[in-house]
Amino acid sequence: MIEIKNLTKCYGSFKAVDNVSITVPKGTIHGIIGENGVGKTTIIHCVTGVYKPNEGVVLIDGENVYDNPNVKARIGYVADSNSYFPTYRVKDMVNFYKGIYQGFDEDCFNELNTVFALPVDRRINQLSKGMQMRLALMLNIAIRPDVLVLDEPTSGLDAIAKKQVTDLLIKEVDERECTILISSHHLSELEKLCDDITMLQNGKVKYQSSVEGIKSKVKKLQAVFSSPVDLSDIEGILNVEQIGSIYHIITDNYTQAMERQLYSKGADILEEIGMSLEEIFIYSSKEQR
Amino acid sequence: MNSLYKNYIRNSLILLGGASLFSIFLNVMDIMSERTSFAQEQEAWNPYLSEWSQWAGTVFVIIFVVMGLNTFLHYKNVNKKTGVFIKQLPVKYSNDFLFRTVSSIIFIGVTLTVLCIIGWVMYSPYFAEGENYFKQMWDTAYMTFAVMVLFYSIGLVSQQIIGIPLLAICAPFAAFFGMLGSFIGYAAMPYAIRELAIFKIALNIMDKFFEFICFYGKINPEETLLIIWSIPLFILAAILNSKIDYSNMGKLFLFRWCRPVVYVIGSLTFAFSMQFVVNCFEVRSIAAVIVTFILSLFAGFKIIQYFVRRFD
Repeated sequence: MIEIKNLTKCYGSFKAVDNVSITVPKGTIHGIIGENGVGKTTIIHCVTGVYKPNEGVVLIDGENVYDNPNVKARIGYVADSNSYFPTYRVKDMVNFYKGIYQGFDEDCFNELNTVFALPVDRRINQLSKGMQMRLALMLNIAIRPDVLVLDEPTSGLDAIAKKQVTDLLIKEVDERECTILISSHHLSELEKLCDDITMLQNGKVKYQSSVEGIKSKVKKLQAVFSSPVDLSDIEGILNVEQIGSIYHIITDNYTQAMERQLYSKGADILEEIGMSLEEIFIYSSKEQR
Repeated sequence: MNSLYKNYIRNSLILLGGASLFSIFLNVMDIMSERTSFAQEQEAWNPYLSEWSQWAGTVFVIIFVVMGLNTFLHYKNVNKKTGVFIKQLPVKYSNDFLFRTVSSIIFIGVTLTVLCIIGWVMYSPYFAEGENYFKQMWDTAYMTFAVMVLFYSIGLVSQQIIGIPLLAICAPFAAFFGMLGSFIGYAAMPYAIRELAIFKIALNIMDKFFEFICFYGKINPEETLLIIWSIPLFILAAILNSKIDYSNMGKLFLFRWCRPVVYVIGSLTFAFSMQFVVNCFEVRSIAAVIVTFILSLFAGFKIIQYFVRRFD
């Protein structure tokens, strides 16, 4: 289980992450989403023990992560870009991992390589971005981690590889009850994969819930008004788009009171339209801008 | 021993191999040119033998460059993308720091020993019998070891404060050595001393450094004293290492104030260093010295700016 409690991380005077708390129960997948620069990678660096939090704690099964080799040995981390030794060959990296992680399972790596088909004699700097990402995934799954942290794991991968990675992650959770924390911009993938989602804004948590929970909170309403109306005085409206007499209203506070207000402003028809996670993300970001 | 430590040793051994090959190349060239010039005449070997102590200077410069590279490689591992990878590994930070420090000191010793052995093997056939060159060589080696350990400890402290201090501060020196090699070593000086001139001037610079470290001769430059001076610096570096959490990983300067410090120290060092070049041309006019000083101050600034922009 991952417990991030009141995490704050500053770079100088800039507060990159501000009082964020996330709990990821064992055997679940948690996604972190947000615009560039909202603190996703900073949180991940705190979870993997690269950064020391300014305030708050990051615990894995109740133990602090920072500078704790025993805990870090149980965490697999796939970074968003290659950070391995560029002159090493793939097989050298396998040996490196074997020498660092006692639980490294070479058979597992070889088995994964029958699917991902990486040339083991090739140097890291000769691998494409997608190949490097596959290598990172294979190495980190082969250490048989209790916690897997992934930063943009599908970037640079083709559609087939993306599917393979998604299947692999689901298998890890199903078979070994691995706990997974993912940061990604591919929201349609996260929507299918994650149990829970945290949406960040300016280093703070904006929404945190199950995927269905967020979807039930943020709603898109289609309303038809016979004459133009001003909806700015209604609380909880994130965004309004007007096409003729049809208004598309995005709200994160759809209540009966709001419904009454809309009807009182002359709405003839009012209906809910389903939204994807990606749409929710876009409208929430628009609101902030 | 874990794979990370093996990786550090591997890097050091690669550098050691490079330094050894370079020193063999230098000496083979040296011996070959002497043989061609002086043929069989025994008398002609005398000036060659008298210059043998330059070998120590050669070793000094080689090991200085190699240590710079070693520190740079360590820097790369600590402070760049690869640093993120290393920080995520299940290795205690203090152990990592300790291993890097101890292995670097051992590396200095091993490099020095190997270079001395190479020097001994290549030069010993030309030594007159009974002369105690071997002892002289080891004395010089010990002095070099002491200075290098001190340099390394200074480098390590500043590495904790400034991301890549050695490269930034040594940039003017790199340019300086390059200029010496191309303008002075191969153009201004007679052929016979060309090869040695670089090392003579390099030694001069090192002497000045040495004087500076020893407060311009106020303290007797005892080698052991230098090693003792290194100890608090190593401790300070270890404390800094435990305090910094590398949030600014990938940045050239870990603290904002380091940037102007590097510019000021680097530019001034370059400007003062260039006075050696000015002296080589025997410039006596004060105005000329001031003008060259200001010009080299500006040049030093631009060189550092190039490195800062490239690596920051």
